[in-house]
Amino acid sequence: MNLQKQTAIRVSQLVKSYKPDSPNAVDGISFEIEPGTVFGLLGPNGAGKTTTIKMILGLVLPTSGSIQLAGFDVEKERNKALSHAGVILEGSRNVYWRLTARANLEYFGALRGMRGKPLANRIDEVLHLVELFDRSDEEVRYLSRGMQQKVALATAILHDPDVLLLDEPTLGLDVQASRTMEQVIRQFVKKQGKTVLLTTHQMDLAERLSDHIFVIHKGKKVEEGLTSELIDRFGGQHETMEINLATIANTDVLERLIKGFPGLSATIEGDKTVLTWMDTGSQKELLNLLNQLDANGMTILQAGRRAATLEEVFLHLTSDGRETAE
Amino acid sequence: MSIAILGAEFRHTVRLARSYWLEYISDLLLYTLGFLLLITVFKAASASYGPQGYLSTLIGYTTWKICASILVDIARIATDEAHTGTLEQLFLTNLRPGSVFLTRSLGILVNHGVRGLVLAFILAAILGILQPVTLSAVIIFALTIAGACGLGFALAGLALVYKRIGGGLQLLWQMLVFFTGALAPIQNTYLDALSKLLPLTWGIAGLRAIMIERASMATLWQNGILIGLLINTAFYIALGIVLFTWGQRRARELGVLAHY
Repeated sequence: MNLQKQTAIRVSQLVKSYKPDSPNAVDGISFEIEPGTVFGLLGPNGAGKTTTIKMILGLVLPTSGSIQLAGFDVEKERNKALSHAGVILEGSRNVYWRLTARANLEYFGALRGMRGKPLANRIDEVLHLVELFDRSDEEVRYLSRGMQQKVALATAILHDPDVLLLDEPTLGLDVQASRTMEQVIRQFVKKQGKTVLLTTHQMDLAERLSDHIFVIHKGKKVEEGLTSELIDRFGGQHETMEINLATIANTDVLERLIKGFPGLSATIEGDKTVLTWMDTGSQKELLNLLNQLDANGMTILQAGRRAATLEEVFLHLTSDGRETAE
Repeated sequence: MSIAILGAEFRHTVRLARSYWLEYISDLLLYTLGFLLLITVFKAASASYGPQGYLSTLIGYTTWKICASILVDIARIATDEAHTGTLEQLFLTNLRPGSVFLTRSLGILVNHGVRGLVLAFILAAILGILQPVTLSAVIIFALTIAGACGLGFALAGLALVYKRIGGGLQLLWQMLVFFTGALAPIQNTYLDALSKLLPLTWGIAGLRAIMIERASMATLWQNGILIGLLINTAFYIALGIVLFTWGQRRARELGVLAHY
């Protein structure tokens, strides 16, 4: 199916309530995903991301609302909708560990209606794509975590789906495996014009890959927009002060400062300390911080304001003091 | 459901069986030793227990072993897949979940059927009680298996929602061996009435009548065994369809498909 002219995923007023006396896991969210884009669905743990993805796939039935996947109503034409989707689910093994990568692909390919020479050729193709061709005849349980996730990715794209739904696809992966995953996603979208719905806690990955970001918190939409616009919009309002210290700061002093200046955080980089402070507040407070650093014998190498990153924007948007958008 | 999907399911079953080879060998050994122990005990208990008794025991024991194994394995598809983390993937193919479970069940059926029957024929040949297999026997055996599959699907539906059904399966396993007449005829009136409700009882009685007493299908119809088997099988198949359909919908409502 050519998705170029229609919305890849359309979610409208989606609600999921697991128990009548508990808050809704997903509370009235709506969004549309255009074909040929990466849509980052971001939120802290328990925000409702996985429930949303599972409702899109029909693995969890919504309490109310409607979902269209590849132009098909998921409630009424789930099988047709699923034939256009490839999936990696979070925390799940996704494939049979007691089978080889190739046997897994043969099995899931057959369940997808593929057979014979076209299936065999496609298996070789995806194994090359995820850089697993040489290990394809080893049982999955003997492969590394990264390779196991590559098998899951190969299975997800085997039937050449129009839409990929990836729930934490890089969780627990090393840098190299994570990069391969990123390359495949990029190729899937940019070269083939396909669509990806991605959830991840790796904000740098989301920032690099996503065209559009949707932030969800406690089941409700917090913000959404083009990634660059979102960072500009909130990064501009909430500039970050970055202060580089010459040495590794004393832990007790750091803890005291972090308590005293809300929004301040510290990271150790090599033999230096980097303080970042979003929403620095008044000039007086900033001077107060600088004075305290000086009073505690911390040498300031560099200090300056910069635009916030997606991670900082995300932390701001999902902080408990902030009301949701709807 | 296509031949290609059935083939894939069968290869999947064989590949996993190869991976769990020790379990399969243990099962075959247990089956063989269990049968030999049974006929030894029966022979010690009754001087008149001879080749006809061996055949009767072999029919009951084999039917129970194959059907109960199929039933339990079908019931455990959901929990086993949830444990391996692949249950949701089976719900993500463009087949209906019932079709995926059905093909998996056919793989299980072939797996247990071939293993059980081959071993039964070997044991029958060794004991000198080998009998020709008639079409009537095949039909009765198929109906018996169909009833067991129906109950298996019903339990699989419950397992999708309630997850831990191991205790219930153990109880059912024991009931099927002791209360279906698989090993010895049931004398007690109440237990006899209970046995008629279980899925294997009518089938075992029918197979014994055909293979030992040379009864025809007409005879089985007249003495009520065939009609009893048909009603019993139809009931369990209907129960399987209803509970599985309910279970897979309820599990998705509760969001517990992947739980175990």
